[in-house]
Amino acid sequence: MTDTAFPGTIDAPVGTEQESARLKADRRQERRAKRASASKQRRISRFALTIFLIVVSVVMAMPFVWMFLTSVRSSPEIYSADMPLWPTEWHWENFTVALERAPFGIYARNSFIIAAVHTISNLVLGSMAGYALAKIRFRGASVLFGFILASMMIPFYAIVIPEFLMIRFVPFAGGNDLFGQGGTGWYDTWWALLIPALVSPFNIFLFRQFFISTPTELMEAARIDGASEARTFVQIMAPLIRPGMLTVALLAFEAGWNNFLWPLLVTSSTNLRTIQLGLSVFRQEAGTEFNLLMAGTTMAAVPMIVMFFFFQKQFVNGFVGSGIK
Amino acid sequence: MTLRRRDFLAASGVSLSALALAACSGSGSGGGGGNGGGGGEISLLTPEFAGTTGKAALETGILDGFFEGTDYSYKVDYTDWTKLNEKLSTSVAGGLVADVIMPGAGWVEPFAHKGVLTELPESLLDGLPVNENLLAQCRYEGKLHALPYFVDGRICIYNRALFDAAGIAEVPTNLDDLREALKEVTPDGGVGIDLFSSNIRQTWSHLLGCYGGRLFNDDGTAVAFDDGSGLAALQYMLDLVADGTANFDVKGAEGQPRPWQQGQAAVDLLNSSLWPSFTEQSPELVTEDAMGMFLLPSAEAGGDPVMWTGGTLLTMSSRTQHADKVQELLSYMLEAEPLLTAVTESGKVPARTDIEDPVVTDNLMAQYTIDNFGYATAFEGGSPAWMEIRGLVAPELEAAVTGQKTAQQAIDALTAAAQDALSRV
Repeated sequence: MTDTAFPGTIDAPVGTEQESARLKADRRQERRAKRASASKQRRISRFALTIFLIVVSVVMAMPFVWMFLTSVRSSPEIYSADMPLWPTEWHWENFTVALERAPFGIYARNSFIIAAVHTISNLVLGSMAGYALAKIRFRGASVLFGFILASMMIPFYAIVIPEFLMIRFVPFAGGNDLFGQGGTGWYDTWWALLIPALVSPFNIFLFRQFFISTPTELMEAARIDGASEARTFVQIMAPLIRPGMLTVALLAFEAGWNNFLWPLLVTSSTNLRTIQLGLSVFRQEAGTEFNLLMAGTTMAAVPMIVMFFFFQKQFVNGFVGSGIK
Repeated sequence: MTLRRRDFLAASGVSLSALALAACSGSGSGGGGGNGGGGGEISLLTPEFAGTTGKAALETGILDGFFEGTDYSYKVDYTDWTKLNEKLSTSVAGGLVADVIMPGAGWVEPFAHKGVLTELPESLLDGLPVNENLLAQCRYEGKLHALPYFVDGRICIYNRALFDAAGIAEVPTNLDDLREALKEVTPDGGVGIDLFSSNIRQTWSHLLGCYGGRLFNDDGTAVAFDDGSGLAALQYMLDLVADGTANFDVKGAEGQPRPWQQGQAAVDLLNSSLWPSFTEQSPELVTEDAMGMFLLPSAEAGGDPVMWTGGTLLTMSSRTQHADKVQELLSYMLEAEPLLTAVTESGKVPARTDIEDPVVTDNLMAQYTIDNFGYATAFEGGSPAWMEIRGLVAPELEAAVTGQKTAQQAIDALTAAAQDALSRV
C-alpha cells in the first residue's frame, strides 16, 4: 500500500489526530464550563432577584401587617416606650369595640352602594365616552378630549363649592322650585352621593387609551356587515378591552369605597354616611385611638384587598396595556 | 344578543326619566330653616360628640331633655375638627347653615364678620359661672357672639423625678429661669421641653402672650405681633433649640407616644384635653406623685403666668328662624347637668367653674386649667383675617426652627401675609 496523498485531503498523522481530539475535548470542556458558569450566573441572579422581590414584597406588605398588628394591641402597649414588634397580648375585642363605636354596618352598606353604582356607571358611561373619543370622528373631539384632560388637572378642593352649589340648587328637588330655591335640593340625599361621580374624567381617559390600541379594521368590518354603532361598541369593541374594564372597575370601586370629603359635605344624616367617615370617629382632637382606628381600617380594607387578590393580574395588565405604569 | 339603536335610545330615555322623577320626589332634609312660629326643626353642626357614645351623649343625654314635650325637633350634623371649615364654608355658600354651630377659638371674628353668626344677648350670661377671660374669644366688635362650652388650656406638665434629680424644687417663674432649668433637667438623648408635639402655631402664640404680645390690635384691624413680641417668642424657641433643650426632631408623631410619655422629655407643653388619652396610655405617669404642672411663665420677672386657651363654643346662625328657641337651647346646654354629660363624654374642661363632679375634679389637667382660668387668654383669632393666615403660620415657624429662615425673615413673612389678609377684609 502506497502512501498516496490525494488532492484536497489533509495529511493527518496520528499525533495531529490526537491533538485535534484533545482540542475538541478542551473546547467541549470550555463550553461546558461556560454553560455551567452561565447557569451558575443565572442561578445567582435569579436568587438575587428572588431576594430582592421578597424584600420589596415585605416592604410593600409591611404597612398592612403593621395595621393588623396595631389593631390587636392594647392602647398602653401602643404608647409604651418600648413597644414590641409582636403584640404581647392579642386584643381581638378591639374589632368588636370598634364596631360598637359607630354604626359600621350602615356605613359599610352605604360605601358599598356608592362604590357599586360608581363602578357600573363608570364602566358604562366612561367606556362609551372613551370609545367615542378614540374611534368616532366628530367635530370638536380633540377640544372635548382636551377639556376632559384639563378637568383632571383641577384639584377637588377648587371645585368643591361649585359642585356643592349644583347639588344644593337642583330644580324641583328637595323642595326646590324651578330656580332651585326654597328647599335643600339634593343635600342629604342619595343623589348627592351618587350623581356627581357617575363618571370620572380619568376613567374616560383610560378607556380612550384602551380603545386607541384596538384595531379599527374590526370596527369597520362590523359596520360593513351592517352592525349599528351601539352593536359595534357592545359586541365587537368593548370585549377587546376587558383588562381595561377591570382596571376601571377596580379604580372606580376603590374611589367610591374610600370617598371621605364629599359624603361629609353633602350629608348630615347618619344613615347616609360612609365607612371612611365612620373611621374618623377614632381620630379626635384629644388624640387618636390607634388600635381601634386600625381595627376599623383593617375591616374597611378587606373588600379592597380581596378584590385585588383575585384580580391583581388583570389589574396590572390593564395598567400596562393603557401605557400608565 | 343584538342591541338596536332604537332599544338603546329607549333604555337611555327611560333611565333619565326615572332619574328625573326620583330627583323631583326627593324630600329635603337637614340644614337650617324650618317653619317659624310654633315649632320646627333646629339643626346643629358639631365637631364634638363623634361616634355612637358621643351621639348618645349629645342626643339622648342632652338634647332629648330639652326637646321633649316641645313642638321642635332637632337634627345633628357631626363632622370633625379638621373638616369643620370645609363643612361650614360649603353650608354657608349653599345657604344651609345649621341653627347652632360649635366652632373653636378664633372662628368667631371671621364668621361673625361674614354675617354667618349672629349676636347673642348678654342676658345669656346672667348667673352663668364663667370666667370673664373665656369670653374674649366669644366677642366680635365687643358684642357677644358665642358662649364658651368646653375649654382646653395649654399647660406644662413635668416629670417630678427628673426635676427632683436636678434639685429643682420650685417651678420657674419667668422664661429665663425656665430656660436655665431646662438645661438641668434635660435627660440624655432627650429634650428639656417638648415644644413641637403640639401645634407649633399655638406654641408660638402662647409664647407671644408670655412676651406681652398679641396677634392683632384691639379692633382686629392691624397686625400687633410685629412690635417685637412675635420675634422674641420665635427667638425663644430658637434659643431653646440652640441650647439643646428643645428639638424639632424629638416630637410625638401621630400614633406614637409623646416624648414625655417615653421619658425623653422632662416637660411637655400640651393640651389639657389629652388627660383621657394619657390616663389610658400611661396611667403610672399622670399621678400627682409622678407629674407636676405649671403654666408658661411671663418673660418678665414677677409677671403673671400665661395660659393659652382654646375650646369649643356655642354660636347661633344669623339665618336661624328660631332665634328664641336656639337661645334657650344654648342656655340649657350650659346648665350644670347637661354640661356634665358633655364633659363626661369628651373629657374636656367645662367652661363653668362650679362643677364639682369627680369627672372634673379627678381630671388633674382639667382641674388645673379651671384653677388657672384667671390667667387664661385666647391668643388665636382677634380679627376676621385670622382664618386666612392661620394655615400660613406653621410653615413659616417651621422654616425658622429648621434653619431655612431667620426668625426675622419668618416674622416679616407672617406680617406681610397678615397685612395682606387684613387689606381684603
